[in-house]
Amino acid sequence: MIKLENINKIFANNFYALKDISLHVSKGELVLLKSASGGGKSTILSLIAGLSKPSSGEVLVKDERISKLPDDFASLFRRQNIGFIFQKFNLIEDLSVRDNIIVPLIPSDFDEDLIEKRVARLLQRFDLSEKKEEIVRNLSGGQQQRVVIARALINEPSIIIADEPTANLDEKLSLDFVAFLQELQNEGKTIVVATHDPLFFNLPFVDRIIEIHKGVLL
Amino acid sequence: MFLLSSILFIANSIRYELERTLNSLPPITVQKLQAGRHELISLQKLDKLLDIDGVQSAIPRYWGYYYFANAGVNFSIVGVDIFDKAYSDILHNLLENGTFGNDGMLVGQGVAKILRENYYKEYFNFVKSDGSLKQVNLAGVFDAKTSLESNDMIFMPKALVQEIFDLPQDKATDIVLQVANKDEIPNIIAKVKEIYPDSRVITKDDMRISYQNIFDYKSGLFLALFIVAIFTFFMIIYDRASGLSGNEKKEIGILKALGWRIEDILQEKFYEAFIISFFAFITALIAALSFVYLLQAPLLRDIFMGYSVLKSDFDLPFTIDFRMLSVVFFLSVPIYIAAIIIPSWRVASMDADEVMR
Ligand SMILES: Nc1ncnc2c1ncn2[C@@H]1O[C@H](COP(=O)(O)OP(=O)(O)OP(=O)(O)O)[C@@H](O)[C@H]1O
Ligand SMILES: [Mg+2]
Repeated sequence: MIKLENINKIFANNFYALKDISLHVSKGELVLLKSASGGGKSTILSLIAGLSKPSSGEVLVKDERISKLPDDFASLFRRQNIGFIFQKFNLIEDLSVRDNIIVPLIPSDFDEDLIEKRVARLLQRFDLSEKKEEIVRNLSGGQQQRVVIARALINEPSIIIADEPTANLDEKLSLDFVAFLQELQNEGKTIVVATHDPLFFNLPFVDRIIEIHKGVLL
Repeated sequence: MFLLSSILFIANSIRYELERTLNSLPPITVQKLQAGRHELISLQKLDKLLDIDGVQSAIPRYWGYYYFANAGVNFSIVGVDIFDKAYSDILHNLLENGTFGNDGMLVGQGVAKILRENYYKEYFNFVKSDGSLKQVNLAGVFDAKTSLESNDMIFMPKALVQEIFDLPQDKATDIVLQVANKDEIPNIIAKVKEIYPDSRVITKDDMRISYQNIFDYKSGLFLALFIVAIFTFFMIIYDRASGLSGNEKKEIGILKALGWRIEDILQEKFYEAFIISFFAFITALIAALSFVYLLQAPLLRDIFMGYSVLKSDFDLPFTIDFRMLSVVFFLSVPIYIAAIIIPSWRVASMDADEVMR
């Protein structure tokens, strides 16, 4: 499902954020990427989602060479296949909950009914129905996190990517997130979570933990 | 944008007035000079002037300045021949209400206002040169639309003008010639000078130049203001174009990360910029229109109207020049849109990753 082949990612001053990384995630797997801060987790997730390109090597997602796709095609591919749960939420703060959730659908020209049906289902699922028209800025951290997840699911992607999803949550909310994660796994989604939160490392339903240190696989 | 449109509106109104004024000027005016000064001209000259080839008519004019001490201003009093069809037509057009009798006068709005302020509602007592008073009835006030040219004017029968200014019966202030063919004007001028070397001959073009000078002087100020306005506008544009704020960049990054293509993002930005700038345009337009035509452009108009002796009011005539509107439109809306789209495009073509960091 997801394949990285001999990836190098080099930033300014010849800094290697990733060094010769190869890894493989199968369909339906839940994989954790683990490293200390600065280890290169976010960089790997960006490459998988086509948000950036490797300096060398190839990234294949669903057999598509996403690392070679022109920018607009990468966007389209991302829209159709990947739900991204960002570390810093990345919500559009002065839009309502509903509007934030449908952002990924806007360029697709879906019909209104379908959109509203999907939104209603997600709002219900993440206990946000009453907050539908609330401006996101005014929500609590846990509520914002749930909006982020709902937004990641609106396009019904087969791959979910989460970057330090619990970094901004207290313990209770973190546990809620873990529960969501398991639900998603049960739905058959392929999931990659970057984290250094110990909470994740002894969960029975996690399939694999990939550890990185300063851009190198351990 | 508001200032810009206001200035354009005022300039336009004034230019319009100027054109009208110029068109109503006589083609040739003959004055007598004595010791370098304008003197009364003898009516005996009329026949000889009429004999010049190409001169259609020669009409004496009786006019002068009357100093109105209470308000410290000068009015122009113009005597007209009430039986002269040319004049009565013009007056008929100018007239808002009232009729013109043997002992009545028609005044511009500025004059009417000052008279009213000084408690003369129905008549005015002119002081003649021998110190006695001459009462003249206020027969009517000119239409507001013609205000710039006739604002400080008083029209009355020529007999009254002669009486008030104590003009001799055989003399007039100057003589106006109408010509059949404009190309003949230089020849006619030459002939007039030949017959009466002590004349000063003024043509419409001379007038045009001096009016134009006044206007140019004012439009110099106008231009300065205009440049300031344009400059401010482009400062804003430059500010927009030279980079998006951190938030705007981040937003574009988010959209891209959520699977928006560059064209999707630019389309959205285009709508946004179009709506914003179009609204700004309409708002500025309405604000400028009401500022200039409803409020009569306080502050700004003084710059244009200059420092006339007569500090009285006149209306800016309402004219809308669609060419001018489209200039404002094309100066503002597309430029603003471009100023939004170009930096957005730059940001949108970067890696989403990079943008969101
Ligand atoms: N666009 C960039 N330009 C320069 N350096 C970068 C860039 N992106 C990442 N880096 C560097 O690459 C390294 C890996 O960054 P990355 O964000 O992938 O780490 P991480 O494991 O996600 O860390 P964290 O736990 O702090 O999120 C870091 O040293 C970071 O400073
Ligand atoms: Mg990170």
